[in-house]
Amino acid sequence: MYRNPICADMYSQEITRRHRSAFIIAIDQSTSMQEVVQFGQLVISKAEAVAYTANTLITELIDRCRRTNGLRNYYDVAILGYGNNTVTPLLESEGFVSVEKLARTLAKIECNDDTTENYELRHKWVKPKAEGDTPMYEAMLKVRDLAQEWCAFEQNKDSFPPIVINITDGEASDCDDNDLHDICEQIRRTATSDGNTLLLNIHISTDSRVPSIIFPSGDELISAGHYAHLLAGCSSIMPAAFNNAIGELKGAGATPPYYGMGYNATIVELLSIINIGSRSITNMG
Amino acid sequence: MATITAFRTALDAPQKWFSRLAEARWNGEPVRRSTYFAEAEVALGTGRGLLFMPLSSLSLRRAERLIPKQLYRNNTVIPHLEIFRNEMRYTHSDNSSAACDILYEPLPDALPLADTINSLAGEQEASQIITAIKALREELHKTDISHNNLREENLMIDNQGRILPIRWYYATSGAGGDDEALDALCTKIASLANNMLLCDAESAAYTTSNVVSSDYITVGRFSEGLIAIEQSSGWGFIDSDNNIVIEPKYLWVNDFHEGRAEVECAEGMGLIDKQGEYIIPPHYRIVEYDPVSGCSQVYDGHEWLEFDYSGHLQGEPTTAAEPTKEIEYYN
Repeated sequence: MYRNPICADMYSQEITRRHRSAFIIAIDQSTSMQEVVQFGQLVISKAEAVAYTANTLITELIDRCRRTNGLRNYYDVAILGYGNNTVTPLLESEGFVSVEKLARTLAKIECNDDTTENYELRHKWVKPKAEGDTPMYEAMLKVRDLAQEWCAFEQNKDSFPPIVINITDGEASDCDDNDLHDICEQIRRTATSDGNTLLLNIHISTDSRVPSIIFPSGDELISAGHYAHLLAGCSSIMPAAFNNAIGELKGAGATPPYYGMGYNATIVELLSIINIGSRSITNMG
Repeated sequence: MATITAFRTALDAPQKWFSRLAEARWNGEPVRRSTYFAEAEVALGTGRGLLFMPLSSLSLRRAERLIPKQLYRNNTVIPHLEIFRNEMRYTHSDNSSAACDILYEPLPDALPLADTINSLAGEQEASQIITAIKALREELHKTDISHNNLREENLMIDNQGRILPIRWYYATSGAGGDDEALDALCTKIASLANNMLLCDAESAAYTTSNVVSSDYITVGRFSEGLIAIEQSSGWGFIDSDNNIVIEPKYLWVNDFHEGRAEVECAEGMGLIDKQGEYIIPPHYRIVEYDPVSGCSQVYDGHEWLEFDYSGHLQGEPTTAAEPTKEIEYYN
């Protein structure tokens, strides 16, 4: 199941207005996301915590696009929710939404209510939901189609490839391990000339008895359980460009290559993984 | 996309152009073309089947959604479709190489229904075929699936008289999509046999395949990474590596759904999480967990209570008659 590392000269394209990048976030919205977690001083449901995380990412992407003379469209963003036997786009569009459009929504909210706090503002894009089963396979099919569509655009052919972040707290209810592995491989096979789509799978949990596994190397997975192995097999190996940031997160002794996954992650660790996944690539003029 | 010429080339020399289907032997019949696929019949191992080469990026969409549902496991009508990724290598006009996916569908040991209809021997045979078609219709409804392409040429009949559809690549979840086509076929056969009577059919029996390990008295289904097992000490759960995750100490357990399972012990029924911790303590006569809403309806012998996903009591209790459903749980 362990794959070879990626060539060092890939994943080097700077993100500019001519070479945008794409983020696709898939969020588990099944019943089990009602479970409560500690998040800083708050005790909130996993669904609320993940919605907060997604909204924080969007805010962060908007902030990164701000320049003196206005907002620069560096990113296309798509967010899907899966639960209750359906896959639903969580932004206004079926497909990608530009950062500029997301920022316009934010601006409208700011104009309408100056007293609204940031936390609430961030909740305007993605709202928490937790109902029904976990159609992860169906969601991954949609993710694959979005990634294929984005990579196929002439203007994106040399861009930094899409980054897909799948956040779940359990097993798919609509496929077996082989099917999930197969569709994730198809997602990772979509590519621009700068590299293949990066797929990060993050399993969040409240089970404190099982240690979390964040960006593991192959050695760290040897003693891991079945589901951690499945997630590793479904996830990308992180390119060298991300190694420093991952090394800092993991601490001394960590050796790349790392799998783009988190198993049994806390919400704080989820934020760290997303932070690394989105920050370690640069956007320029 | 690969061309039909490339498909023929691969069929002529499968060991050169196919990977896992290298042993497939083409029957030499012309390659058939539909909107989405080029199709050829092959012999593979001891059986035979159809190879479908996609002609569009949309070709495999429905099969991709159908296959994970694994309906064939509990059903003898639906074949075990398989998508072989990057199976067929081919060469573009500019000599660059590529590979495309191939969909494989095993064929039943049966003959084309069209041949039987064209040589109907009389009313009795027509009546038998109509009965078999109605049985097929019932089975499709039970399985909650529509084939969506049930033309005569896509139906076969085996030596038991069962009608078996082929070319499942347009199938979708949800029953009823084939009713019209099957009704029309029955009408045609009845008409051919001079207005013979239609008769009802018994539906086919379903079987489930449970793997029973010698270590356990009973082994349940795999659900959310855990399998319910029964030992002499009671029911518990193991993982896919056969490790005991939740000790077998319960009188009864349900499968896990969205991280929760109802359990029963001597003190009563409760609800546990995947670590075996009680979300609702086992003090109740009935616990009915709804995995869609995450809420549980709980009966303590006097009134009904509602708990949320985290085990918090919701609202005011309601008094109600003891439900008959209790019998199911205490049997």
